[in-house]
Amino acid sequence: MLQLNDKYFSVVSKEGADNTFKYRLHLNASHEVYKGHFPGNPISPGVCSIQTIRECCEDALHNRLTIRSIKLCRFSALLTPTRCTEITVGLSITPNANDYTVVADITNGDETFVSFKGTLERQ
Amino acid sequence: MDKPLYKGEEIKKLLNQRAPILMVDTLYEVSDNGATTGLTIEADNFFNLDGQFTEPGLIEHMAQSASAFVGYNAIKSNSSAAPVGYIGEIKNFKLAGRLPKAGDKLLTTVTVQSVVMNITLFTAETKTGDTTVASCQMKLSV
Amino acid sequence: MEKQELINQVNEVLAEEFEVETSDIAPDAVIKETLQLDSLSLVDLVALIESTFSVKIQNSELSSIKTFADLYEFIYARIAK
Repeated sequence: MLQLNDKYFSVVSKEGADNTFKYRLHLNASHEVYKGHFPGNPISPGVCSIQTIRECCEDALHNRLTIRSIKLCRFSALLTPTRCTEITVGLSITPNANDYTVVADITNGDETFVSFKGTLERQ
Repeated sequence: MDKPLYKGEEIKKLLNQRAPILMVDTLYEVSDNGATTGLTIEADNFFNLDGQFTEPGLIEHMAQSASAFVGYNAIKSNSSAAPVGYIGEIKNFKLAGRLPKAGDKLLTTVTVQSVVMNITLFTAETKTGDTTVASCQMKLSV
Repeated sequence: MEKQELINQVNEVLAEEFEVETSDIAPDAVIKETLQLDSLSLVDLVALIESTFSVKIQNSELSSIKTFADLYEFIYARIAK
């Protein structure tokens, strides 16, 4: 079952309110996904970064969310959970009439791994 | 469709991903600039949630569909092993309707728009039966 | 197409795609710097030139196109006149 919280990552800290949040996450390099991505060379899958962003939004909004569209998601650097054990997920959430526009990034210090802009709907 | 080109265990020649994140099970056809792939969604698929195959799973399936095409060409032209592919960028991903569910068979068409250095720009469309489930444009780095 | 007309058109499509002003584009400026291109957005440049002018830039030809002037010359030599 797909749930990354407490398995693939764990929340170290959360700050923010209203529409802007920052989650500091610890990455679990022993998660089963790394058996296959890739054998002997663990690289955090880009889609798991997207799922991480989604789960942080669900936590922030206290609601399950569907990813209706992604305008742009850039993976500017490879994320290796053995080299980079903690990441920051930054969220900027704008409510629309029927959904949310989410601008998010995943960074650690000066390094940016993911830049995301998409539309999420309440389930 | 005619007999698939690659199916089941053979797919592992085209892709470096392994369980639980191998998300293509069949390469049906290949053309000069694209390919058709498939995936049957098993009940225990890594990306399932409450019996539905989720959006990250769709995206991973589309990305690996393009990787399978790149891998197929690598083997055909230089007999080298399929290169490892990473998603560089996703543009205009759209979930068309409802998520597929366990038991559904996905059929995906990937079409290469451009190859610049080690990056392939392609479009992908995934259907179940005649219904479009999702589409996107993606850049794959090898 | 006249050369100046081509230059104007190239500048317009680049400005729109990469969100710069046409006034930011100088003939001897380095394209990657002015448009802030990395390897991912370089693909967009090649795809844009191909779809707008039907001119394909091969991988082997990329290194010879550094400035906007190089790009204008490259396209001008290859478009149907």
